[in-house]
Amino acid sequence: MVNETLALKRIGEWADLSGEEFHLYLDIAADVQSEKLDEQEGSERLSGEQYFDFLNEQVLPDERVIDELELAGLSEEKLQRFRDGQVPILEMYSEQYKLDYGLDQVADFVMMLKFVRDYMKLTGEDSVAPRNRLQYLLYLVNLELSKEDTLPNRSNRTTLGNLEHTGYRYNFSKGSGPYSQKLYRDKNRLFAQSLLHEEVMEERVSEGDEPYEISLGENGERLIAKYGKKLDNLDSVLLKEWDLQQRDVIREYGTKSMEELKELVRSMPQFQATPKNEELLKARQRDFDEPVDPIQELMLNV
Amino acid sequence: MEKYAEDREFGPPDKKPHNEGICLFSDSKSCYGDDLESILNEITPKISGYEETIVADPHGEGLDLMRDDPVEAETTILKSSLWLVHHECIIEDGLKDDFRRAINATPPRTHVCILIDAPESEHEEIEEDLDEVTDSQNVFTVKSKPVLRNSIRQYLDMSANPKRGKEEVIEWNNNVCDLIDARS
Repeated sequence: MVNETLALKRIGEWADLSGEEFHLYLDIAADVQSEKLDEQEGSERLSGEQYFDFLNEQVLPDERVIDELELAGLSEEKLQRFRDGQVPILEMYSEQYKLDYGLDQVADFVMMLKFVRDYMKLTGEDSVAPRNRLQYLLYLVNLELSKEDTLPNRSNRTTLGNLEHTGYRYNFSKGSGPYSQKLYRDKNRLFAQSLLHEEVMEERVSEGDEPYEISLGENGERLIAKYGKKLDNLDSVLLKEWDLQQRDVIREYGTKSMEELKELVRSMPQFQATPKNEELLKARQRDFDEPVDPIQELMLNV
Repeated sequence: MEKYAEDREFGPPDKKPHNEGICLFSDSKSCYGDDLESILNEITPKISGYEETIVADPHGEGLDLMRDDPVEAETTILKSSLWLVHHECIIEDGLKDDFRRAINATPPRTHVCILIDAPESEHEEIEEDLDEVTDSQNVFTVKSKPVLRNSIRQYLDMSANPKRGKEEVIEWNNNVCDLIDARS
């Protein structure tokens, strides 16, 4: 899913337009776009790549747009891309959303995907719902990791136990429950790539709960079908520990009602001792220092 | 707000336009010195099918609602699919967490436009302060009135206009009805 409303603006920024020239280009391009859309038959909405192709084929090479860009002094190289309908619009978007991250971020993505898959498999539910259940359960994964110190040949510098070496890199703060903005940022990135799917719940939820349900997206289903077995038999000691804890959390807390889950977390000493909006639990501290091949292989195929 | 039938028609001969809520969050109730209605008056003649398939319905009370009760506010502000938020409402009113939560509660396709209204030398610092609120694909910033005008025009003409594709408008509308229903 992309935000098409921003396309003309992004194209103008890519062309290095600014000030009055930028504003004039925006007005002219929007006029041309509206005119060309009105000429089209049918009312099927253009979205994503279809819309970008429409811009490149019908709007950006229009002489009114080109005239304005010439007046603005656009470089000949970029001007030619407008004339040829070869403006790299998709790249402007994919740079924002592509999964081009370091190994540690990729590990968070994959383990979140695996969490959603395992949650549905182990609980028999169709989705993780309401959405803030994900915050509670991933917090519990990290919390349980922080209570144990079992990883072989590791010396801890903090009191975070296994969480110093493995687990999600999400700092949780205390709201009405545990909350990590980075967790939602990653969830949104996975949603943008159709790795996760999110939709509005039909059932009613309590005030403060987020009435969305999260399941695997189309690409997520495909990846899990191809790599699911590999992910169930991870070679990396660090990932294996993380995965075991994740599954333990699902088994122990996954079937609890949202009210029970909230009550349980809110009555925990760490939660009670933390002032509102303050840090509740630190993220994993150390980067991975050993290969995690299945994860790299999986994400390279996204 | 009522659910739309899956086969609803918006334009002629029925002339039942989609009522597109635009919610403004601003202490001065204005955008770069102009009130929202006058900005809309400049834009709407350029929206294809305006008053036939779509009408804009501006609301200026977003900030008051958020200050009163951010959780309760969601039942009203969710009905608007375009939010215009002056940057000071987020940074200086101590409502950052409330906005973050409210934005997280929006269904896909709700657009949140943050108006940075300050000298250019301050833009970078403001954008840093807005970090985490803007880290969502439906949030974007504008830094001048012409760009704001173009963004609203693009949104009304392209994204929210049933003339350009009614399925997503129906889906968004019905999602919001479900969301509000789920909270009641």
